[in-house]
Amino acid sequence: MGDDPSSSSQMSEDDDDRSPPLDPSSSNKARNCSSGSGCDYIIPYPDQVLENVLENVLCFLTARQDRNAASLVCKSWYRAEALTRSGLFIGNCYAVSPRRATARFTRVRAVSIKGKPRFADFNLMPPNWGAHFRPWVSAMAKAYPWLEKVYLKRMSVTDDDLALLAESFPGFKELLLVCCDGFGTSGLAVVASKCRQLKVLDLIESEVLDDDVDWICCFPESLTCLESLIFDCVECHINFEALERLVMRSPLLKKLRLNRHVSIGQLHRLMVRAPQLTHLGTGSFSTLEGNPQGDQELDYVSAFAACKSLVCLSGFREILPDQLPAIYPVCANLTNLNFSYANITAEQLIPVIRHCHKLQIFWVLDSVCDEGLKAVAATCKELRELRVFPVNAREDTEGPVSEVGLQAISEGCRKLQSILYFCQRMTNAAVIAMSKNCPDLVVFRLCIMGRHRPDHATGESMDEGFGAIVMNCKKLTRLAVSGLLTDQAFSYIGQFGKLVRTLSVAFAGDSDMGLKYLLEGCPKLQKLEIRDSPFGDSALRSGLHHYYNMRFLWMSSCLLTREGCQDVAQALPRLVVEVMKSDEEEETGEYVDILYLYRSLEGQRDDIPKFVDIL
Amino acid sequence: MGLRAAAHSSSSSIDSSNHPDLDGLLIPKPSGSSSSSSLSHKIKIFNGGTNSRNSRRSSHTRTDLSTDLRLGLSISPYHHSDLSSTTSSPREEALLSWPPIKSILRCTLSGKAENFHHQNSSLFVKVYMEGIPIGRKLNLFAHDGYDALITSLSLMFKTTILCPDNNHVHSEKYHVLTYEDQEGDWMLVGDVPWEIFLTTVKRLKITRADRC
Repeated sequence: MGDDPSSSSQMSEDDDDRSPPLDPSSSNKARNCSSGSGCDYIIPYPDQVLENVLENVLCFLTARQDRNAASLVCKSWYRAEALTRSGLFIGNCYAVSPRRATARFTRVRAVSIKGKPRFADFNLMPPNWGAHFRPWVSAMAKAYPWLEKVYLKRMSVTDDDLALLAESFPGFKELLLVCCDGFGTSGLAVVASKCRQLKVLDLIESEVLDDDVDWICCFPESLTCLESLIFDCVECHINFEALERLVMRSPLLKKLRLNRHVSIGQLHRLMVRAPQLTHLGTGSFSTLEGNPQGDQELDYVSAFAACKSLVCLSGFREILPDQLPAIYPVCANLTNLNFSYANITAEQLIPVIRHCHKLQIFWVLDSVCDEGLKAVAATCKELRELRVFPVNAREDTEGPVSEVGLQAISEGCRKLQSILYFCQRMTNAAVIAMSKNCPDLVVFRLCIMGRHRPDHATGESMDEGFGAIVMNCKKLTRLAVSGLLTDQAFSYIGQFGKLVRTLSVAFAGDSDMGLKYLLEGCPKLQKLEIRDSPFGDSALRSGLHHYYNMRFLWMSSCLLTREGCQDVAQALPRLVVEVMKSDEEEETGEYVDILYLYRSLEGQRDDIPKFVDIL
Repeated sequence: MGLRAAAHSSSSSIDSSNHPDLDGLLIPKPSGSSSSSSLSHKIKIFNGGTNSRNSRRSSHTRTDLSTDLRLGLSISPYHHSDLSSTTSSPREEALLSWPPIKSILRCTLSGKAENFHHQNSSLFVKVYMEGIPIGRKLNLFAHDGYDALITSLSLMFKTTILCPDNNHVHSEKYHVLTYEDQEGDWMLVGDVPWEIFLTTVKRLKITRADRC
């Protein structure tokens, strides 16, 4: 709080891994020296030659953490860095305004912006909270005529925004929309027709409105530059003939992920046209109404065999398990296989996975059971990332995967770095085993779907299991906990989780001490999301020293009062403290429904909906 | 986990811990819909038809209304007051936000679950006939509606069981079918849609028609 908010430590708002704020006196000293007063010898103002040299050298710095560090050296470096930064990353769209960002960085070619908090994905917040792309695209349209790439995550994007984008940037090349909404096929049509240099159009887990516009037809009639076209989340029918023609005139196309309205027969036609593909999303992988008989007779094995460069396979939205053997020819080369929409059994999985020796990333449904996971463990020795999703996303006493599958994976896949595992039951023993067998774990997300569920075998809490993870996995940066957890679990995390940046907590803990352990113990904590846990105002206050170093804190259905949140808002002027009702109609009770706080240079945003209050 | 009060409205989600007999959980459909078509047919409708011609949806919805109800999801999930559960506080009712799976994925996968589990699992309930101390057991999942159930039971117990839609005949010669629901009440079979019945039935009793 003693920091001058405009000091250099606060300026790098787009920094992810910021070190704690610089001691203001040291940065002032640097400036004093460079302006030639208060030191033993006069340092001349850096001449233009030096700045030019600096600019040329700084071009080689790409990582934003490095660039942020460079910008803090002195004013001259700050200026040079700002002129040479070509990739702008905004981790929270409300932490800095478009005007401020475009004023500082004037030669940006690629922009990444993240909006809504992740818990908004799970219906914890009413819609229309914010994160609008409009102010950003308006500012960039004026500031960055040479913009080439836009990556948005959890932002609200309208068709008009897409139209403005398409019109404003003649050299536009890459559009990636992840978990976005608010736009439809009309918006896609404008982008397709006006962005003549378009290389990448990736729509991932986004909601796309069906405006009955045939956007596939809107791509240029000549050869296109398309390298990646991903639209597996688009729920609308597409004009298949137009798509086939598009593929035929896109010789550079490497990544194609179809939506579930593309039948297996149509897939065949496309594969024959594009054997150069490296990433393929297979669409429905089923016969849809139309030509079921004909589809069954095609030679899928040859089509797959012809795709010699295929390394990433996904789709299988309505899978006909009988057709699965068609993919055998490519299995040996696959590094990434996504079966998370394929409701297949262990028997159906095993013949496929047996061939996948090079697999590094595997997403699957728990329909394959512990048996299927054992088969994965037996073959996929190079596995780096595993995600097991539930077919039935509800709480139950029994489920198809359990501690048995987790144990098997830990024993077979020693190089595992990232795991997301949904299950109904778990034991500390299996989690401890994983902590010892997989020392390279960076991401550990275990979701025991039964709330407050203890160790299945011993009836104890899951404290020891998660404790072992933070103790033994020295590289861990992301953690999600579940099951029955006491304050002890948080004590472990605070004690050992020194690199943890992202933490997800639900239905856990006994008292304020739990949250205190986290806020006092984890110096690198950036993103903390908590729901339905008994943490109150006193715990909230214990993080005052740290909130400026975090991207955000989310707490819903906890024991926070409005006054407690107010105290934090008053103590930290550069923090935006949003308090929300989870149900617009209901009266506010004793406790705050949702607290969402984040650092910001701009203060209160001007687009808050009715259910949000900024303290 | 412990049992919690069941939410009986057709628009609420069901906590399976209230239904220990149910393996592949069936999700209620809005009343009035046909009970006799097979589930795989229903899944085809869900997957194929409803998505394609949606006009402006709000940014937060899934597919159309009937699909939402069929999957047991209420339309505005954070409107806790819509759920008709008697005792649970709003926080306990927030099942739609747990486990942390995105809505889109939950809809798609639930559809697959219905198809998958229904073929493989069973729901056996006890059936007693009034006056006969030894009961029988019957797999409700093996029947696709009330007609099939009545037929099975009539054969099993060698009596005429009046169909729910017939006029009640008060006579000791005929029987009617009743069931015990999750709240312990005895109800006449046939008033609610088949899928909802499957989620609330605990056991069956064939009673004389002159008792109702």
